[in-house]
Amino acid sequence: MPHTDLKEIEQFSKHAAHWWDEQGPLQGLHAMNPARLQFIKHHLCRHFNRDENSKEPFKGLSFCDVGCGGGILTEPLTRLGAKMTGIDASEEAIAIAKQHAQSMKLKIDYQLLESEGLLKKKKKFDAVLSLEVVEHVANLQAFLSECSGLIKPEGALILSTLNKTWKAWALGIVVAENILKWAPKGAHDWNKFVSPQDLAARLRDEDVETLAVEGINYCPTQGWRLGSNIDINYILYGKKV
Amino acid sequence: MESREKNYDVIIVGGGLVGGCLAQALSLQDFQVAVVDENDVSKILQDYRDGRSYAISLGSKRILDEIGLWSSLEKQTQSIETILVGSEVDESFLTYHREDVGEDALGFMVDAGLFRRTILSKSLKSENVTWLSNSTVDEYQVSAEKVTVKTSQGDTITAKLMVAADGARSQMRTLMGISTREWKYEQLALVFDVEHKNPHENTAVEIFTPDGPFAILPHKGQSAGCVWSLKRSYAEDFLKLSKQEMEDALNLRFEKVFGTLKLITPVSSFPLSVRQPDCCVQTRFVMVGDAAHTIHPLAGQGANLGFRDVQVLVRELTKVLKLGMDIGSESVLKKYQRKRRFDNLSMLMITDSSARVFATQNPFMRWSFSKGFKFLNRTSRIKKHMMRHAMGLVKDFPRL
Repeated sequence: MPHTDLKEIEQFSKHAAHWWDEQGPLQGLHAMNPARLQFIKHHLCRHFNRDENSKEPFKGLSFCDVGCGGGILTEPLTRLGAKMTGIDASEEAIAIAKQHAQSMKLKIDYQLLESEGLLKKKKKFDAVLSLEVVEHVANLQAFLSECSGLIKPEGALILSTLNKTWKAWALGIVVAENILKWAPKGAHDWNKFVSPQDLAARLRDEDVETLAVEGINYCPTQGWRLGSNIDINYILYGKKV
Repeated sequence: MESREKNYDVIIVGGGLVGGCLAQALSLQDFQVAVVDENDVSKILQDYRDGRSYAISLGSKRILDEIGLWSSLEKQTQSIETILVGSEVDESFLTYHREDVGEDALGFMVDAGLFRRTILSKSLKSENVTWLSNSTVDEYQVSAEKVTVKTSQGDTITAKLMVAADGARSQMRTLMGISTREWKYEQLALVFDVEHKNPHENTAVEIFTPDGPFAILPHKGQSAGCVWSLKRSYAEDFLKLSKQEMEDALNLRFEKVFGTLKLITPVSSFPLSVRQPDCCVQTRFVMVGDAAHTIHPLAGQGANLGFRDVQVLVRELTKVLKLGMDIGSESVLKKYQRKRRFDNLSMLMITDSSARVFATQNPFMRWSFSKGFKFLNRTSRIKKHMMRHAMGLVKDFPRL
């Protein structure tokens, strides 16, 4: 296990029971989900030439959610027609994800695995998504290389994370974890934050071309919204070349 | 009856105006909907008569148009082009005219029976709507993932979200243990239709009398619907009058409005109250229409608030559906509640305070009032804003 950070996994396992509690320790993820999905749906529909207004635009496509946790992103994408595989290194999270998908009557292939393990199975997907994961991995370049390895040629990659700015430190760690309790305390380590420029450069080395980056910003009256300000949270869409 | 379990996106309890419109609006967005309604469908389609009419605001008309109902109603509606609001005592009147806001009409009168039949026949044609008639909710279960309902006809249905649209005395609200706050006005509303001698010229009139507000709303031809809210004891005296005596009493006071009035329906009565539930959402449960708010009917805004509930709820649910998210999740319902609270509460307070203030006997209050009226009549900006709110055209309400 070259780049898994055991402490990080422990951190998320602790909160496994609360994955689907919209007011619980992971409420930040729930609140950001509509903005994230809006970005994903828009870019992946364009990428795969699908009609955004159809009921199941991703029908016939296979996606992999790397670091799926309890399935907050995996379930909506399943409803939009994608054949989903969700992997996570936390046993507790995968158990919750399986149980929740079953009660929602959704067919999702959840596996207790890391990207490396999945890669060994020689599986390839039309798109790989890994949201709010990059800032938790120990070896970023190796992780990006595995993500890229899981994508079919011409496929798509979606990543989201925190920018390496003082604002991201102040808001993402100090405010979100300690004051507002949107994320569990100690969930983030500023040293692992990465700027979009740095991330794009690293992706280029792994044959992924970055095509769009947008900010996900909190507005007190409207909640989380997509916007051009990428100082704190951002989401990225790229194409495997 | 044979038991069968079916899954839907949304279960609506109550298939009246608001519930029916909601079913129709959701079906157009590809939601699978089940409506649980206590009435017999065929009876409503054949000869449902109600006697009442609804005052439909321009905003509601646009909502009904969007969901394809207005075109079936349009021919049989009476448009309102002028609204006169005034006081019986000093005869000061505030005039609202369609030209003040640059619209074709301020609102419309729609017969309740026609409305009900139109909505029902439309939803019955929709592939996405299942209508369970003669049914009430026998058992109700909610879990973190779904709601399950057993109906009195033995059907078992499940959904991601349950909507109560079962009216002011909502059975679902009671079942959910949601308490309400209620203010009784100690007033009865007398409701009846009249024929009048002079043409109404598409005018609705609301007269605040010292006994309570009297509204006369134009129907097709030379007839109109009247609502007179009176102190209970006084109203009960009126109910004892013969037809002739009642007509005499009406003409004595209101003949100057549209000429001599003749009763064409019996006088019916219902008690007035304002009811506000403590919340309108719970786990996978949300209320719309009168179940979520019962206001003083003096401004005829009850149904219009219900249509705005429908519009906001459908918009929020559709957004979530399009993103593949769970339509019954807490965050969606909270968003709906937040967006509707201000509009509903402010309309409650406006109608409530008008009812109290206009009924006052205090000469100073009455004097300030008539001055205020004249001021408003001259100050077109404030008047225009008040009109647009009442017409359902104020787009965004401040969020609370």
